[in-house]
Amino acid sequence: MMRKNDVFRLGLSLCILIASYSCQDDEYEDNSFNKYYNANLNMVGQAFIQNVESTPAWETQWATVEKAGNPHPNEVFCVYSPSHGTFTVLPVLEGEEITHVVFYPMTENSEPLIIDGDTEDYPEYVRGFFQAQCYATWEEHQLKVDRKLKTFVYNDSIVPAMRMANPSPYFLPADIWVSFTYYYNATWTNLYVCRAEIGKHVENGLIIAKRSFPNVLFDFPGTTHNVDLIVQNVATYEIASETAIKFLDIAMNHVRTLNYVQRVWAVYCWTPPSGGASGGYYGGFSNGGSGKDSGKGDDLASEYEERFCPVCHKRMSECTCAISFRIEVSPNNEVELAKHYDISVYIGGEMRSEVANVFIEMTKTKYPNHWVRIGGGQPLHYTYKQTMMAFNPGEWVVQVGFQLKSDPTIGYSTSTTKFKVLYPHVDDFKNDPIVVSFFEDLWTKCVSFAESHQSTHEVREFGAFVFLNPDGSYSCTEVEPGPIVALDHAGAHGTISASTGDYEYPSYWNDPFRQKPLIVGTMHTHYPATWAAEGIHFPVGPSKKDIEFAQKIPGLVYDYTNKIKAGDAADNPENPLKIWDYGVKRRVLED
Amino acid sequence: MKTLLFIAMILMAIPGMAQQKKTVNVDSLSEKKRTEYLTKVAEKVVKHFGPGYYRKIRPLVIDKITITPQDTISPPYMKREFMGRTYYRVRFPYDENYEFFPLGYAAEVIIWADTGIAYSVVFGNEFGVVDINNPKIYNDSRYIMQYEWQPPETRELYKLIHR
Ligand SMILES: [Zn+2]
Ligand SMILES: [Zn+2]
Repeated sequence: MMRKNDVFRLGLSLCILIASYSCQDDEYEDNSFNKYYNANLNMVGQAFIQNVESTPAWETQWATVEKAGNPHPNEVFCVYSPSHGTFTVLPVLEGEEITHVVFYPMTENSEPLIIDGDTEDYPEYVRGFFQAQCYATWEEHQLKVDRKLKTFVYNDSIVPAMRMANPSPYFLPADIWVSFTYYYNATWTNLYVCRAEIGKHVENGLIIAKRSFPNVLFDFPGTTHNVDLIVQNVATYEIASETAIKFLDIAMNHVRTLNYVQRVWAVYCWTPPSGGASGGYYGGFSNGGSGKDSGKGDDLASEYEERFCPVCHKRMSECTCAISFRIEVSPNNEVELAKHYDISVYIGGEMRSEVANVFIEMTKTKYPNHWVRIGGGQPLHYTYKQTMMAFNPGEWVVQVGFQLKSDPTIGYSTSTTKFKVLYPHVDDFKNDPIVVSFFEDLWTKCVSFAESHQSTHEVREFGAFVFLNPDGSYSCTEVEPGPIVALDHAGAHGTISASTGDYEYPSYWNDPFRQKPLIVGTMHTHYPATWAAEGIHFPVGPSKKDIEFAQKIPGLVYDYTNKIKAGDAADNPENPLKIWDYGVKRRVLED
Repeated sequence: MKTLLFIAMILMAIPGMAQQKKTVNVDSLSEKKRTEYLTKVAEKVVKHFGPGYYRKIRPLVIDKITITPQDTISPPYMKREFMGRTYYRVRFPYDENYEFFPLGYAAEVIIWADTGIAYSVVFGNEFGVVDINNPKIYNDSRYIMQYEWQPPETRELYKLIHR
């Protein structure tokens, strides 16, 4: 009984729907556009059609598009290049193949541009789009792209290996292309926001990369030029090229953290160091790191040959599994903060050539299954590499997601790999000029306090936390000074304490791209004995309280070299001040 | 000059309540007598300034030290005032299965070789008092060190000090 009722109700609502559609038909009269209302549009397609519809004179434009073939609004995406602009791209198919691409420039009153493989007079941005293989998104969706379109390359931006003045800076320009999802409610304002955010991420990515490679100079990409890298102080052009590629990998990985970004490419506009691609154009890509090896496939092949399957333990190339992934972190499984590391994925098994894409995901072992995707792309020689910047200490685990050519569903590797990102060693910062000068300032305060309280023999300790900043520099943040104590009895001593929790930057600790300054150590002063009550003697260096607190975090204390007694000069060349380190050598990993 | 001043001060102290009223040239004593003398003085000092640190393990560990520029034992303040002078360092061993002292001993008393007068006491916690024969200090209860027990395991903690 119930079932019959439901069917009846459904029939009724369908009638109402049909009625409302015919209403719209009347409004727009007989235009071919309306067939998309009935088409199977996804969210992207709907958003795109709505936008097209809101453009003046869209009907004639759309008619031209339809003349070219069968437009696929569901496959629309946006693409941004600092030097070429922002476009919405619409593929137009003839049968199963994309034969035309419509470029909608994201500028006021701009006309869409329809491109096909036979077009002769197309602008540079079109060449760049194809040169950068932005169309790969469509291929991933099993759409064929006309071979003639795919052979479009830059006209004028092929830059020869250019050596600048001595000693050895090399000029290595790159062109950046970022494709991103056409917003579901893609108003122009939203797209402008995305473009601005991507631009900012490109900038920040370059700044982050600079931390690993201080010898690389770069221009912020403006609206008229691409990213020009200048690599200094390297011996050979090969190293310069490799440096630039790593640099771009790091920068592009940062851009990839935006959740609406689909793919990021940096096209290397320089000629290969030696024996690479012919024709004077490198055509490399920084696409999550896999591109960096495109000029040296042989190296990659031999590297691959040396790997063994973690499941069947045979060579990756002879692996008898259906599909297997070996994940390695290099240079080793203990990575220092503010240093870069590579995650390499080697694909083995009988189906290895079926893998279209791999994705690298990370989470801390403390947050099991909170996987964060950090990148991905097409493997090269069954290998995929990604360069990362370590700035989130903890124990991490890596897993690999993959798509087969025949199946876009993402599967996951059973094998995972763990590695640690370590806090810096105390020796890395105890003599840092910033730390030393901060200590000198704290000591000045300490002495002036003691001197001005000499009648009561009072002293207090001054302290700070040592931070490591994302740019690799150290800084110090002073904490509340310790309690005032009178050095007027045997055993009198000062103390100081502060909680890391009160000074730590709050932010998500499972973010592989976390970029907040980190507390790496504590620092505090002791005090002079100069104005202590007559006869008082005390030891120097870390106290019992100090070392108790330093079981999880390295401590530095500014104190005399040798024991002191009341009346000893505050500044005594025979007993100089020094920075003592104590406690653990590195902050203990807790997150 | 400094030495003279110091001796003058001690002389001035003699009429007061100071513990040692007369001087003894420790070096001139026979070894047996010297050990007896140093032990007696050190015991008296520890019982007075830090009774909680007094331990009965014998013999005490006695070293003779002359303050020289190369000397790495004497603190800078002793080198500054008493260069060339000789003293005996008398240290009190303790039961390491019962407690721990970062000093390595329960107490350490420094006694001048030429006068036999105690100059300083440092306790197991490394805090101490100098110029202890000065009646102003000897008679002031604020210079008495309180004892605090530290279990033997504390030794492990102190390994975190990288000397
Ligand atoms: Zn296998
Ligand atoms: Zn301290």
